[in-house]
Amino acid sequence: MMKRRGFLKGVAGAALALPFLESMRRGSAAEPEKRVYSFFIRQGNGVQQAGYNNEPERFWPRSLGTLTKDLLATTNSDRTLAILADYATKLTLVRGTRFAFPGIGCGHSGGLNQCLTAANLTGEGKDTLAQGPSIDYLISQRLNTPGIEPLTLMSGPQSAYIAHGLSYSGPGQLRGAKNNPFAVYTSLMGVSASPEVLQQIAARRRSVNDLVRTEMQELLGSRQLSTTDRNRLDMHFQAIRDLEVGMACTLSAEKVTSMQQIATVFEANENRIKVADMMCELAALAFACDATRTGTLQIGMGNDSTRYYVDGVLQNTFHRISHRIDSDGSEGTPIENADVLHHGIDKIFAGIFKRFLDRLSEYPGPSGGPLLDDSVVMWTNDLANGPPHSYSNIPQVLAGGAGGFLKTGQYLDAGNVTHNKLLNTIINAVGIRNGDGSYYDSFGDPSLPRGVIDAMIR
Amino acid sequence: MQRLLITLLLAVGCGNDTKAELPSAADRFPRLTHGQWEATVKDLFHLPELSGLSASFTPDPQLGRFDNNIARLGVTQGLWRDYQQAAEAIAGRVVTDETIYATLASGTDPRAFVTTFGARAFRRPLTQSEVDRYVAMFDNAAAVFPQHDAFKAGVRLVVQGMLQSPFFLYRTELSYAKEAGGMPLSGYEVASRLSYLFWNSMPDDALFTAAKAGELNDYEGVRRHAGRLFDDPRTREQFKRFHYQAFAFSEYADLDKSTTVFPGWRREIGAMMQEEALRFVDSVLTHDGGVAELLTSTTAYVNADLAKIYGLQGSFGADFVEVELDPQTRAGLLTRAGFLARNATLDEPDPIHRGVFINLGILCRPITAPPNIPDQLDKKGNTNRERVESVTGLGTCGENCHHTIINPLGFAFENFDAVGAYRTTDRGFPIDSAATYHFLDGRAISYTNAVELSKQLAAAPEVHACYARQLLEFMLGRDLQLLDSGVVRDLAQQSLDKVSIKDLVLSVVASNTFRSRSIENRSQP
Repeated sequence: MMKRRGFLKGVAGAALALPFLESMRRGSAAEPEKRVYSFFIRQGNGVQQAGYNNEPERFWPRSLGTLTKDLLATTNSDRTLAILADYATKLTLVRGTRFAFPGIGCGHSGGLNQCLTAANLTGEGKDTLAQGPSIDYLISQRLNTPGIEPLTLMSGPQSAYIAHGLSYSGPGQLRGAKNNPFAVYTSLMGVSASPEVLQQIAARRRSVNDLVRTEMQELLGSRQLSTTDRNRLDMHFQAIRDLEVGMACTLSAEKVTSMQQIATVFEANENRIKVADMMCELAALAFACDATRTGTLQIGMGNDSTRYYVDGVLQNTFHRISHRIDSDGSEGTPIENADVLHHGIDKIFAGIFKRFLDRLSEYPGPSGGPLLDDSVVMWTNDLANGPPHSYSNIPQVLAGGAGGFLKTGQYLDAGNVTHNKLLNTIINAVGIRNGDGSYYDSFGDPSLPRGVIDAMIR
Repeated sequence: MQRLLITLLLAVGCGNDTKAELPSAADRFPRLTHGQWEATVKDLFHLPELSGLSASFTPDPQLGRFDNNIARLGVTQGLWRDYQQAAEAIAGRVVTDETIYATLASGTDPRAFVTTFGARAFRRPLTQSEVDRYVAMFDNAAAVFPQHDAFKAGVRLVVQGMLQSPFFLYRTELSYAKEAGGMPLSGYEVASRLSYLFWNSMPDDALFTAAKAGELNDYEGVRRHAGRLFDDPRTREQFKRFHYQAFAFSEYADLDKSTTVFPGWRREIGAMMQEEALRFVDSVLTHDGGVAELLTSTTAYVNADLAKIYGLQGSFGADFVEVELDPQTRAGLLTRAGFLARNATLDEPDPIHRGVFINLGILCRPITAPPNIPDQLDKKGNTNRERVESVTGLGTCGENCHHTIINPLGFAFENFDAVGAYRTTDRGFPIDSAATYHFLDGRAISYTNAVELSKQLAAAPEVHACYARQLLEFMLGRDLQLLDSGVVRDLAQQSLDKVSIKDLVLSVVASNTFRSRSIENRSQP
């Protein structure tokens, strides 16, 4: 398996015509010693946990402290997180984090936009946007070879009342998410050919890139460009890269076929979980062949209106179940046993996350152990609970030790801190530090208290 | 904030811009949407069908109201790689498919190929230095495509390159000759504006010829060619696309209903409602109808499932047939199954969401977002209406928004159940669908049912201004600015005067706003 970073140091001794940024960033002091992968999975609509209308606790384990398989599987067998018992020693369960900024008229949109950005919000209602980049983008900027983006994935329809809203490259700069697994696979797969042919492909691409760069530079020099025009063209200009062409990331024919089979119905309600599993499979593959270091997966629309099957029965939309009423508004007929159904749906998400951990355990990581040990992956949410869709005590479930940085195997209470501290901790876990070597502590809105969650760190 | 201000100005008709014909400052590099990319590639290479390659492109984020809004259309690193892969796939196909190759590259002269193909790929003639550049690329291609003869290698590399060029990927508008009131776009730039507006694709030969002959430099020429483009079947698809987005038809496709209350319900019926809505707006357009017809026409297109919902007698099959609905109960889009079923719960009508959509989508009246959802509310009353009023009506915390703005519009549709069928009672009690609605300027309309409301809306200036705004936004592919308010006002007045949608479109096309760009250089606020 050829590595991108090896390629960039030169093919056949020839210096590549890279834009200036490329040569500057690679190999700089920011390059961490260890390779750590990160991934963020978002469930919508909160989880069923205690705190509303006398609903019993069905999510978190009974007690804080060290986690064991037996403790999760037996003592807490009635809790959602029991599903992750096999990974007890590799988990970090964090309660006591909260979103800092109130939603502007729509809790779902506000939570979705800040769960990975810790940024303040602009706009209104469902059209709220985050005022800063998301954690995957920051990590990608620092760890990925220039020209490589975070994987930005979704299981669900592109167009919805609230659609994709998880990954941002900057203030208001929402990024598009790929929702067709086969298309994601195609883009990861790369080219498999002899070195001679690979060199020809690279030479053709360089020839095209050089010419297009010249055209872009001329356009950037046109008369009277507005700022937005200039930014638009510059983003395009910076995107043109002479990347490696020989990397091959492949899945088994059987798995590829199953992705092809749903290549026209990947948005369908019935395929929501299947597509989520496929996306997790693709994320694990991408990390295994170092195609990218980080990524996100949004499962379901903003206010996830998927109809899930609980105990084999097709249920009302998740959004309505999460509000406990048969309406997308604030009033409606109560849904019977809605809290139990919500718990059932939480268990579905726990299952998706568990299978993702299975995939990450099957590949070897750069340290020689399972890839999961060289990763930190998080199952998060844009709300804490069903009604009242609170922003306090967001369910944050992490797995993987990040190459030994995280103190796994524990359930801790962060103490009602703003969740930027959790995101700061993850940023350190992947190897990013401040310029002076101290812990990175300033992700998200500048008004937020700085720092990390010390108890998470080994 | 700016958007809100414009809405207010338009809604109350107090814009006083006497230089209404001045074009707004606008960005000059709209990227092809993925749909435009597909259609353009098909036309450029005379493919028998769409390549389908754009299905793998990184989707654009959902920003702005319409999918052609320039705010969505950036080239990210991921999309750039998608373009690269697609360009390579197409270039490979061009030199291996003899039919395509024969139509594209008949001669043996690299310069002639670059000049001819380039003019269609860039949608304008190439400059001398551009020709030189691509000819040089052509000449160097044999070394990197050893499997082809030199000419084929050149064709393949040039195609691969031009499909990644900004002049292919963007509809660049570079003209800067000043005239009083604006900078007129070049004939080729106008040709692209026209073809992408009507066909979502590149200009045809006739448009290129017209651009070259200078026929697109004035009002009459543009209007004449626009008329020709309008009559092409592709235009109907494009305006279906507009109405689909403006009226949120996408939300009709995946509806759930209680099969206890509606035993005949199947998931597929939502998609049928969507199809019915598309056929309806298309028929209004093609029969020279206007906004009023959208809100009042009783012509419908139904199959057996929909006929049952509409209570139609006769035999119907799987195919859609044209029918006339009962004018006593149905009038236009808001009384059709799709809108009614979308804005309903599993088993009950949802007057709140019906009212919200009409405020936002039909009247362009901003509504303050609701407070974060309160705990379960204790609804009381015999009917759905009474129960909704008990928690949102007079004397409740929802009084300001619901009682005066949202509910009066929604209650007019209480005669329609959760799948859109007509009913006269609710839980055994008679339906009350009478209400009074106050416009933003304080005017009031009273009505006893949905047909009366629809007819009154069809005569309301606010409705025409709202449609005009959305139409212009779609036609220009951007959010509107203050300088656009003159054009919107003019369009709205025409629409109120019963001008057809077709003629509204054509009047925009012939306007300064469409044919030129602003002298002002807008910078980022």
